[in-house]
Amino acid sequence: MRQRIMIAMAMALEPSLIIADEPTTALDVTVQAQVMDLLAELQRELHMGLILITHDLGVVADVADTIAVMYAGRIVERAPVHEIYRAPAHPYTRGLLASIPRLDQKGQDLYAIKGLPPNLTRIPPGCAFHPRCPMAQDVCVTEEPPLARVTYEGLVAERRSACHFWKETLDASR
Amino acid sequence: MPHGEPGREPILQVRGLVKHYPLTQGVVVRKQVGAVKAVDGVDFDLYQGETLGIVGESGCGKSTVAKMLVNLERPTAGEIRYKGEDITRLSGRALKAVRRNIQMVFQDPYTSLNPRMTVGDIIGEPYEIHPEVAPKGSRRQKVQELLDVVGLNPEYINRYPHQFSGGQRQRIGIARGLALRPEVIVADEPVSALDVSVQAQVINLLDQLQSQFDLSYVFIAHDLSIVRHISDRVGVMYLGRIVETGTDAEIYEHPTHPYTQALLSAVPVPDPEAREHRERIILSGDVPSPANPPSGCRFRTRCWKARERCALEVPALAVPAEFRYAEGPAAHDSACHFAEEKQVVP
Ligand SMILES: Nc1ncnc2c1ncn2[C@@H]1O[C@H](COP(=O)(O)OP(=O)(O)OP(=O)(O)O)[C@@H](O)[C@H]1O
Ligand code: SF4
Ligand code: SF4
Ligand SMILES: [Mg+2]
Repeated sequence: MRQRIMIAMAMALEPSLIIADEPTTALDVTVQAQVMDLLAELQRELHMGLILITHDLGVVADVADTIAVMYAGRIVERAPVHEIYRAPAHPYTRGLLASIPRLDQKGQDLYAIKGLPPNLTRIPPGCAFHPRCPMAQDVCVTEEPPLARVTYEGLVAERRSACHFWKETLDASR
Repeated sequence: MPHGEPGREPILQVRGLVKHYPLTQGVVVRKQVGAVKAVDGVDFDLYQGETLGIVGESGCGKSTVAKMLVNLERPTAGEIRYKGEDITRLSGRALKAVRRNIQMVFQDPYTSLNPRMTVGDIIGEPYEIHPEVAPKGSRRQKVQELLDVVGLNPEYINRYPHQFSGGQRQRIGIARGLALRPEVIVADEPVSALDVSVQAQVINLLDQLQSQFDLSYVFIAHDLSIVRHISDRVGVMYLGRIVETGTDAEIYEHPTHPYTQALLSAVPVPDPEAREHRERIILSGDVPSPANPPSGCRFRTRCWKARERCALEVPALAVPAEFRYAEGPAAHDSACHFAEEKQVVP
């Protein structure tokens, strides 16, 4: 209820962009579905842009057109929704998607990204993900990877990854 | 009655469990004007070595059930039988002996650990109440073994909670839960407060400890995919009651209760391809207040199948009549007068 009032208040100003920062908690799945449904409908009607900030990989898969994945204060991958779930081009995204329990994994260990997110006052040099990355090489410790353009056959929209080895990651993901 | 494995005695049997919190008015003369029916008639069995997952949305009473199981709250009514003995009637030494065997792991590793105590003192604290488990001289070594068991460096024994990350703190909470060598662990949302990238590590640890120590788990969580991963059987709660129980496949693939169906259909799946061809059941309205639950079936104010009978008769948690003589996964306990199968997960 409170959520719906907040949304109604935001809409009263007829914005062209709405930023929803964790608009629902996964604690209330059926309420979350109501709220996301409402947001999607308003967005269609009012033709407004929506920036949805969440840690729920299910929610983004459901509503987003484009996804930007952040790690330690930077965008590390940006891609159209279908492309990124089909084949991530950054090892962090790949790890996140792999750690979601899948039906065929029952009774087995879940994939777990090793280590912990960094302390933001001591972000590792080079690629911030390197201490946790299974693909890290020497260059990852010394050089910060740019948010480079990812290209492959069949890709029409823009896609980017901040990984020195996005090609290898992409190939390994497929 | 819940299914379970033939030939095995349940380690816990919960029958008619109720917790009402009095609603009072007045400052000088406090008068009871009603009750929050946080838990209002819950039944389930837990078998040795299995994991029973309990799911349900915020406020449905999951934590209250957990607290009654570990005796942090006294039930208003009902029984909790541990190996056949009703522990809600025990007191004194007998209660203490049973409590040792049922331990809890809490949701929030940031607030559940005393910041002024060292990790060693936190994990070893249960030994103060149960010195028979670890005589004074052996405690330090026992605590270090526990740190090792949960994947923490035994040398961290003198550190304080703030020196650890969320995932590590949850390991400390788990080590404390294991200190008295319990048989049953009640885990209330043990990974919900953790970074997504760390949740899998803790789930794997819980899985490994279960086989290592033959533990039985009551695993409470709102994340339906994690619950499915870890549970042998699942109970779905709505407004103070369990509305459906069954094996994970029965609940996830053959739900017969409308609330379970709505809940499953509302879970966002991390697969954009599923977007177009998924049927979403969007419920109308909000969850009613547990101080004033609807008559008959509590879900009726949001149920698209509700009929007159639903307002008059409380549906029992049992195998619905239409499935009673049928073989197959739809024949499991479901508290609905008009239960029917509906596949909702793609
Ligand atoms: N000490 C208390 N006094 C009064 N009401 C309470 C008390 N503890 C819990 N409640 C109420 O009982 C209901 C069930 O609460 P409970 O914490 O068991 O829910 P829950 O399923 O664990 O929810 P969540 O998913 O948010 O943790 C809620 O309506 C809550 O407000
Ligand atoms: S740049 Fe190196 S460390 Fe960073 S994600 Fe890519 S492979 Fe891993
Ligand atoms: S008993 Fe009636 S209101 Fe309750 S879930 Fe079944 S159909 Fe819906
Ligand atoms: Mg709770």
